[in-house]
Amino acid sequence: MYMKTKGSTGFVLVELLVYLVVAVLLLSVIAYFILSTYFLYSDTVARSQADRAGGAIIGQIVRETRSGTGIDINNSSLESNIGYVTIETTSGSTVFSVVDDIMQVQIDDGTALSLSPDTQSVSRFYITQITTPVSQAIRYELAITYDIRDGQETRTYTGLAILRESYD
Amino acid sequence: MFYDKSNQQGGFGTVEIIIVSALVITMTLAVSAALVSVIRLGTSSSNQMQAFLRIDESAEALQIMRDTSWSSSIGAATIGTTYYLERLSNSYALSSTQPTSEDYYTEVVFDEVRRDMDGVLDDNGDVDSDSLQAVVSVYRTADAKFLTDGEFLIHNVYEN
Repeated sequence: MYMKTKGSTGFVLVELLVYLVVAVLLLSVIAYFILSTYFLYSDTVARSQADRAGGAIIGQIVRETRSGTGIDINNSSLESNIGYVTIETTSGSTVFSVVDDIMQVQIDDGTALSLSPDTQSVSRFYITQITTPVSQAIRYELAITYDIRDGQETRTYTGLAILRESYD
Repeated sequence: MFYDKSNQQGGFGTVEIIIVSALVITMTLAVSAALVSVIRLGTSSSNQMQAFLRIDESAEALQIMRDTSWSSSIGAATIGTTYYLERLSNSYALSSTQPTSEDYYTEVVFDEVRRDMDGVLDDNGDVDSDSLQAVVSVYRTADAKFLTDGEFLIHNVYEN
């Protein structure tokens, strides 16, 4: 039989096993807790990035539309799922379009610039023309799709702009 | 007093393990609490961003309704009654029914506008029947949580 003598150090085997089991269980619970929180945090970061991109894109499109002189209907695709719009300006034109799921802007036939990050895809850019007896307006619906832990999520951003130059 | 170290056992004792475990758990909880705060802040920020977009949209939508027909839209509204901004396919309207199909909804309440003899806004002046003040509020649909609001003056410029 086993006898613990005075002066022996550390754990006996059974104590060590019990401690190891308890430690593994404790670390597993902690790891699960941290990972769950981290995944929630990652999803929140992805949503925030989509919000930043969506808000900035809608803001820029609305500003350009308000200050534009008109909409070039022949060079726009309205009321389609992935549309594009050509805004006539005093210096030429500004085109907002979706290329390879990325929102792009092209000012006065210059180089097209990306407005949305390549980690997110623009899954909808729906443009509606609103006509009143005295003014013209454009409504934009932009949907951004991004990856989260359990798949994908989509957020929609809406902007509305009356073309100030359309008033008589 | 001298401490006889030679009689001490080496390794960890139960008390030490409990203390270390408590420290680890406390640190884990602290880190998680910080992350949860970041998550809450992100959600709140997202809601506010959507609310600001809707306030901006509401201001333009009210002008579109004014441009279309004052008498059949804004001019027909009852002072103090809550309306909901409704997106239609090619226009906007004021509805008395709260929309539930979207994540957020926009309330509009009109108030009368008073002016003095010079046309300057004055609470003690006469009611200007061609002007209304619109108080626009944005709520989250899921729990009717108020997010933000804005006030606009709208005028029957085109007398339509």
